[in-house]
Amino acid sequence: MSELRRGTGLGDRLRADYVTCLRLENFRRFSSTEVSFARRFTLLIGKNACGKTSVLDALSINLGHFIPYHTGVRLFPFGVADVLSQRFGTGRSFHFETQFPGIIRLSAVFDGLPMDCSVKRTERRSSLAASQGLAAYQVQLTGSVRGGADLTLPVVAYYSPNRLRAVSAKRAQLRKAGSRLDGYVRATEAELDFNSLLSWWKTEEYDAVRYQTESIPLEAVRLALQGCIPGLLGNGTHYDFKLEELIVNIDGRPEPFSQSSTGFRHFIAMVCDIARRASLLNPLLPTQEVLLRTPGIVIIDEIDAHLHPEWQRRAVYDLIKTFPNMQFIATTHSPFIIQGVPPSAGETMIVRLDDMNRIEPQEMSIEVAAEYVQGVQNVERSYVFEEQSAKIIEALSPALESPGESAKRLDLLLEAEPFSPLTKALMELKGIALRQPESDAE
Amino acid sequence: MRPVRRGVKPAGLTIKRYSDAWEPLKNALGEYCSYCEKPLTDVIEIEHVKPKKIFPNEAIKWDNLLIGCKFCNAIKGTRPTDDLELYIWPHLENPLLLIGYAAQAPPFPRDGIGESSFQRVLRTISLVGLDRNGVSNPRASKTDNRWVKRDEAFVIARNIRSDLEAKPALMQVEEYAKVLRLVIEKTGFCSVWWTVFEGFAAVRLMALDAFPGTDRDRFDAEGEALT
Repeated sequence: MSELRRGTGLGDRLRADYVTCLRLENFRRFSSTEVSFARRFTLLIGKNACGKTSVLDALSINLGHFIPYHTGVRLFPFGVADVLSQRFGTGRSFHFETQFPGIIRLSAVFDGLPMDCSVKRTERRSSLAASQGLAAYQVQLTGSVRGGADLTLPVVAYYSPNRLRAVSAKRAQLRKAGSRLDGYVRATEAELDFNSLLSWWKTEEYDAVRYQTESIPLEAVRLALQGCIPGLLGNGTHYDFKLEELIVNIDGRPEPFSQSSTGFRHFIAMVCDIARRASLLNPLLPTQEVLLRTPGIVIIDEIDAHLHPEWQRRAVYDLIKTFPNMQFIATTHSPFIIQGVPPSAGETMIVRLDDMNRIEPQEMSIEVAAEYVQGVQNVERSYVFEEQSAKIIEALSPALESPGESAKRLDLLLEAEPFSPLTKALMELKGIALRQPESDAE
Repeated sequence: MRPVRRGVKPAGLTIKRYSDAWEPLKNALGEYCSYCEKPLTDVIEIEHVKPKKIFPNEAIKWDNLLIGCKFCNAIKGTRPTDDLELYIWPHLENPLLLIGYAAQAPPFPRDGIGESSFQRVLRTISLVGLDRNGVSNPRASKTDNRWVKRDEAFVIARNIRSDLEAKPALMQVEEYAKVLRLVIEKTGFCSVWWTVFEGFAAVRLMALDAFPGTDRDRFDAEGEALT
């Protein structure tokens, strides 16, 4: 157990915390599945309703294990509705039965040590369960924080544009206990709230005037903004006391934060939030080190939301460069994001959830990236031959072995049924191509 | 978006109401939307480059008219476009040099076109909502099928390209060329054909010719785009 008590704060060793593998049993639409994650950046892609957000939700339910237990931080709930509901019966007669228990198992690295944990949902309650090692680590961690030990705490955070909303002023008030653990407040609730960002920034600037120097959290946030947002001047961003408004300065043009575009505000708020949490959790680290050393797990649903293509292309790169010790897990539908995942020997990964295919990030054209999003083969069929597609596919099935046979079947089909002019022309075209003898080009 | 040329106003045409222009406009540009390039099947709309509500005088000027599908036209609405230089217009330059197309993705600014053109592309795309799709706009996209049709065109064009690569002699088969041209006309989306058949001059040129009003002076003999 003593090896758990390694001082990591300002020492030389970088503390490492990240998730490696998630196993779901009876969670949402998954009866049993497994997803693994890369150390720095994992991008989940796939069609709508393939379970991208479910995987993220499952992760954040389990993130509670990274937060010292019993600190009053509200965790992402694991409700009865999250347990797989299986359909029995056929036709009009059927019934649904909830498949208890739902279990989310997580393999993760806590402070450099691989350990397992899980969250289980039964009819009556949901409960965290940790392996022996992790339980001991949790006891240790809680004691260390309380005893003021010098150790780095990991950030955990979950952001989702779908749940983006301005939280009411009352709820937005951060716990002002002054504890490091304030950095975990509302961390897994998937909401970004602008109000608390504004009130935090305002307080920091008051403080800066009073002490005639800026606090480390504010400096860290500025530094992170500079790293992640092209053209944004970190030093030009300030709280205007007259306007009661945050003013951001892009390419030398100051503008009120509330009037910036949605994508811009969302991204800024997210970057600020990560940096702010990192420095709250590790108040004794100097500014530079806060960003470089703080470990953490940051989950982002629809990372492309509202960003224009140029930004999408660089967003991933900028994030992992600015927070080099953190692990990011994100979902997207955007080929630009996929294109922007930097290849980096096993440290970054793209996972297609439809078929659980893992794709190594590489220099790819936007077209190739686009094809990865939905898997083009499936689309091809349903798109080209909207009507009567099954019959046409059937006619084309022997095309490889005996093209002549396929051509004949296409002709029969053309005679038998009316097709739209385009479909008809396409079938005729295919017929000619099939009858054309192979390799008479020379 | 292909570059187009309406030609001079037909002799004898007096545009009292803008609907007088429909017939000659259709002959000049074909029944395709000038922005999204979807074939127009049902609703046919005359598109005013400068909105008729704001510039009533422009409503009956031949030079202010294009063809718009109901989606492009409606999204563009009365957005003031008096500063034409902020956008890309198919009758004023060659949009294919600036706007890139890819399957299952919204049109995007091509690489290396410079900051001001980059912004013009983004502005134009949002002016007519070319970036709408099932992901970005789940509700509107149920009726707005421009993106589905564009993807369909990609699939069709690629399918044909792979047939042609396997059997290059097909282009010499008269019947094939005839049907191919018909397919291109029915499918629409000139830019998609042009994009997919890069390095395949015969089909590229066929696609440019299949759509009436394509400004051929903005392409070289191989079908490459010129300014």
